[in-house]
Amino acid sequence: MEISKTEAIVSLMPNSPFMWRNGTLEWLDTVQPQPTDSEIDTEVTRLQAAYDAQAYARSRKAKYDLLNQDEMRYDDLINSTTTWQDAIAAIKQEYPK
Amino acid sequence: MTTVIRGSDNFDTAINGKVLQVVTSSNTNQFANISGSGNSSGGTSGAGSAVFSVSFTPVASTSTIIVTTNPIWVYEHDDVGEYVWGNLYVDSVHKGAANRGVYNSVASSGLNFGFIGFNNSMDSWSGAKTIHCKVGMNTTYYVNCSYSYNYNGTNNLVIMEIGA
Repeated sequence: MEISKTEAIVSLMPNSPFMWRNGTLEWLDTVQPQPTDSEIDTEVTRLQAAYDAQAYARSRKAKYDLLNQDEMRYDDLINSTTTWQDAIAAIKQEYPK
Repeated sequence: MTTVIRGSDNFDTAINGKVLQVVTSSNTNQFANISGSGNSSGGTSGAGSAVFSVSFTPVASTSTIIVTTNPIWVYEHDDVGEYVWGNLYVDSVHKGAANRGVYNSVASSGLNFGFIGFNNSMDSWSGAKTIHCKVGMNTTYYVNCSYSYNYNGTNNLVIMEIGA
């Protein structure tokens, strides 16, 4: 996902209204100052890095959700197997931190 | 962008049932992090975000003016909004609430959104006045975008004057 300038501005100024008038930023807050282009770009970069850093976690969760983990754990308990642990370990190995 | 289409500028008398003039306007404007309020009927004393503010001069004071737009997307910031609303104004005079949209949950985040489309008719007037199409939500809201979704579309307005 690409972080938008709108998201970056709200992150910097969470209580400030603004608009994009045909693509140009128009500041509607009469109290708080408008952030500079440089500040907005820096925040976009920061948020994008934070989002990208969690890519492994999102990938892992998508794979975890495909497993019937309760049934796997039950079957392992009954059969003295390690299918659940093996599956989790494989996903962690596939998507390392 | 505003476009005025007229068959003729010489309208001594309006023609019954005929389209006397058409004004169109379109933009890709987005509103973000706007503090909203109001009730479900949309009567908010001029509050809201003006997606369109277009000057219109009727050619006859006895005409009917019809205002239409595409559905306009309004999205909440936090999961507390219950409805979106729209209001039509001529200068500062409230001409009625637009059809208000119901909210829908977005499965991934629980945030709500709605669409407001204007489809209003009203009596004509004399001289130039500005038609405002305002939308809002009863919480902090976005128009034509969301907090994290910035790919806006084009909103379109059509104003028609029909002869009496």
